[in-house]
Amino acid sequence: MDGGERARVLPAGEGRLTMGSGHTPAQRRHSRRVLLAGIAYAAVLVPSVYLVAQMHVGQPWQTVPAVLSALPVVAMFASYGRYLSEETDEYQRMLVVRRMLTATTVAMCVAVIWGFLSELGGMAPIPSYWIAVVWVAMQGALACVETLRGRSDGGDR
Amino acid sequence: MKNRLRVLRAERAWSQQQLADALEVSRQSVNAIETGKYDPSLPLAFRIADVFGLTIEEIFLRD
Repeated sequence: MDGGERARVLPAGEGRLTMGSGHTPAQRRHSRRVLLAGIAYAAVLVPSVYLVAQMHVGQPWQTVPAVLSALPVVAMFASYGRYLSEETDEYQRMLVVRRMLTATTVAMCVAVIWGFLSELGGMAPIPSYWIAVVWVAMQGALACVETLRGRSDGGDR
Repeated sequence: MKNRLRVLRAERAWSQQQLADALEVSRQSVNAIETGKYDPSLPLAFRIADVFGLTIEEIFLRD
């Protein structure tokens, strides 16, 4: 059988992986999960803060709203793990892994530098959850950079 | 690793999106492979070869 016989006839665009949005199905599912986690976070955080601040809930019950507030954020991080196992586009997966490694490096550096600044440099200590905020912010910033790069990649549609 | 993806695609008048659909990857992936920014895994290289009806060696070349 020669090459011409083996060559496939290309589809006319139906069932395309990215559906024109530039996102793979796994990325869309991940975005949906992160959005739901964000909504759950907002829904839990406000009553939790109110409970602790206004109703003077003491220990050990104070841990309940604290843990409940953290759970949606934990779910968001778990979604990243699930995304990596679901993603079938190896290039997109490589981009996300690279983004996660860069964000982790930056967040860890910020945590260590601020730790020494607060211990030795007289700066005020900050809550440890800010490390996660830095990580997420880095994810967003790097995703923006990749999107801008993708728009100027010179490819045809 | 060099490749002849862009030339082979142009010969068949396929767009990057059409090739991406056939390979079940994103258009960005096809573009990254074409421009040499990303070297595909062996399974994806075999899929590319199947789509073009060629062998891997006819598409991907040593630097």
